[in-house]
Amino acid sequence: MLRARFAVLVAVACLLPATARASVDASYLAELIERSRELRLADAPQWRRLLHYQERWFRPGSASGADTPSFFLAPSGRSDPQAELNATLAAFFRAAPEDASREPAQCAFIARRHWLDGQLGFDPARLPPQPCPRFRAWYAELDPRGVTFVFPEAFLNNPSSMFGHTLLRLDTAAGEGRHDLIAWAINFAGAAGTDGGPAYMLKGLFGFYPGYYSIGPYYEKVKEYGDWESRDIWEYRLDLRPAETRLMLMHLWELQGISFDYFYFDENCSWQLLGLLEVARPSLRMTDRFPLWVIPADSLRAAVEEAGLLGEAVYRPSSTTQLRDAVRQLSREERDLALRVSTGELEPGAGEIAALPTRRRAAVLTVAYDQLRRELLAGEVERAETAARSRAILIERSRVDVHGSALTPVAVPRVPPHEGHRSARVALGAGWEDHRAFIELRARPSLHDLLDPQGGYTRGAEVQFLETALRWYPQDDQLRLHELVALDLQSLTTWDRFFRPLSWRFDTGLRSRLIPLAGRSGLDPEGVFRTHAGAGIALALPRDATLYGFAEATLDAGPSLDHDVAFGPGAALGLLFGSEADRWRAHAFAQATRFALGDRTTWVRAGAEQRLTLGRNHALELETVYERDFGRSWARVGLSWNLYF
Amino acid sequence: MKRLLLVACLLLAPAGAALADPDIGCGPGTSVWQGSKGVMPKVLGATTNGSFGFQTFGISFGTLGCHQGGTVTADARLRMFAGANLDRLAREMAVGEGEVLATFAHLKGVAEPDRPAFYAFSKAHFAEIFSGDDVTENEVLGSLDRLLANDAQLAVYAKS
Repeated sequence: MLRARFAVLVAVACLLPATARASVDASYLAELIERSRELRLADAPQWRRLLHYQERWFRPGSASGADTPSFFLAPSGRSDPQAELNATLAAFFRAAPEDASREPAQCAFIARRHWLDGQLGFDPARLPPQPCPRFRAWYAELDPRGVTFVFPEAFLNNPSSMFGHTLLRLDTAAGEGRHDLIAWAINFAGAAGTDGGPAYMLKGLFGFYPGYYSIGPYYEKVKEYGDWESRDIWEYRLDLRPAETRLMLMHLWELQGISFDYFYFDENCSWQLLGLLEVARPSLRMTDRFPLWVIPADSLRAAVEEAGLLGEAVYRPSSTTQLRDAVRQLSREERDLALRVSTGELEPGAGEIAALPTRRRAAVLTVAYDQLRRELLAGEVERAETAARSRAILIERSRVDVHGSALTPVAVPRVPPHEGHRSARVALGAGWEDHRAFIELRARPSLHDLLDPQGGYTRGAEVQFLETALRWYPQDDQLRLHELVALDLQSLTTWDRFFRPLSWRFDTGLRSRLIPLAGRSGLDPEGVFRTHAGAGIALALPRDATLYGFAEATLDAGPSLDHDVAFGPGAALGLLFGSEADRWRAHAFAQATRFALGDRTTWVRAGAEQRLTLGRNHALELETVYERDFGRSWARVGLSWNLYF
Repeated sequence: MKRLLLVACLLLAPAGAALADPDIGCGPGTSVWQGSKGVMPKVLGATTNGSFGFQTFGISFGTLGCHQGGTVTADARLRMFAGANLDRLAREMAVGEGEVLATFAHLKGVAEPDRPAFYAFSKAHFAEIFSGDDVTENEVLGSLDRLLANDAQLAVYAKS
């Protein structure tokens, strides 16, 4: 025992810089370190969270996800929780750091101090608490009265946002009279510099980017997501107590300027924010739920279920959603007028406008302005040519004696994102293709395809990652990897006189294709690596149906093809529809590809697939397809049972 | 490195302790109906989640030097908010209602009972408040204050 105490004292002496040694109560430090060992504080979940320690994948022990050396007080702190704890306690005895621009450790690591004090009960006479004026001023400025979990829905046109995003908002007041726009938003993002597109995805996947926390006004986020990216935003007010909120911000204070390994699917914004909430309320165990990947919608569900909600989710429709809804409320003639005003063909004060009833005039003028603003944000028109017109429209609108909107506000979607289907899916099915029976097991880690129940997901947006299918053909007793689709994206945005968005799709991965092999009579399933992309337009039909047409290109590569490759243009036409209650969704399609390079053939397929939802997390799918390739034709029928989890 | 500093600045000085000088506002001011210059490309955009909005915001911090201490004045906050949301503010003043307008009134210190009058006032004087199609938030606020000064009920809210 005595020997152990001596060892601790020696260790303590080493921890203290020579200049500080005299002023520090070394025996008290030794006592604290010993107690922390007895209590096994270095292994405590909260210490691991405050230091962002995780179990290592390939070696025993743990390492912190934080990358910045100044986050650790011990040289080995990144991978040695006990050494870091000892060094932290030692540093707390130093009132002033050597570098005057830095804060005393007690203030720079104020959440660590708070927690260790709670566990060890610091004696203020022997370890005087620092006042930390900078932290106090910062906290007073933020003045949080509540915490809201914010979920901007998926945005397919930016790979970093395909799965949605999450951030936190610090609310300005508890009840009425709160002004969300000027609240502070806490954001965690990977700093990708100028990388975009595939480079971003690949580097993000493997942790090449550092991730940082930042704080800024929420209105900038509303502009970014709601105006520029046309993403609807959902706001969930969490049931956090003031002390929990304060603890969370203490930890955030420690994280200023600290970079983390950023992984697109795992250590991303959602994972980080769940970690912050766990620091706030140590009884939460949310990150444990997601050992391999976490996507924003799942983290939202976890936060709602575990941290608890105050009131209903708040829906903040994007400016495009609002404009589309307003346009729907205008008659054909009124739409005409609004468009002509927005293009400048008609003066906002023209006789045709003045002749409208007061409320309709108000509606037409605001739609004209919103359309012009949308085009400006999208870069479709120049400011120089539209600023005067924008102002003229608003002056005319200000003269109409209607205070507030003349139209009905956007209805809140029936299903909020946290109540949508779970994003992972497995399916067990059986079917028959080209005279051969098969049994198929299919799995997809995330997220949503166009036949999944629409509720809670972005309309017309399909994002699937690593969809994998195994097939067993009983006739030949053969088990095959049928598909492994790395990424499958589809964005159907309907086109009308106000909006001319491009719809597109892209998928890449391993597929099975029926190919004639030398010495065999029929066609045999062979693996090809396929990349397929298309662009086109989609139209909205009555009863929420969508019709689309695409010009496409397909590249197949595989050893079973002549010249190992086939490439060619194609076209596709499809119709998507669903029942009003969202229980049944169907997709009818026809697609033709002329492989003109490599293994030349014309490939045609047409069919229908439909899915019937049985309860929230089950669905039955029926697929009937006719295909023709290499001069032969065949049919496929498949029935499968899907489970979302 | 620049981004790193910026993030640190934002964390250290969330409200623009930086904006101690109310006249600086957002530098030369943001023109209304500025549009999307430099907004991320619509297809395969280059920015990651989130850094974008804060980055634009941070440019002002950068030029102002976030090392300064002091508390942010209500006026600087109002100016910053108006500058960042000028086109929505214009729309909502013309319509007489909206979240940006309500927040603006709150930052301007307009008491709750006077809000309907304030909204009606800014609607009635819209053409004078947004007196040209190149106005910046500083000009908008200047015009608004001049007009408010002559109003019997709302003169208290005019900044002298």
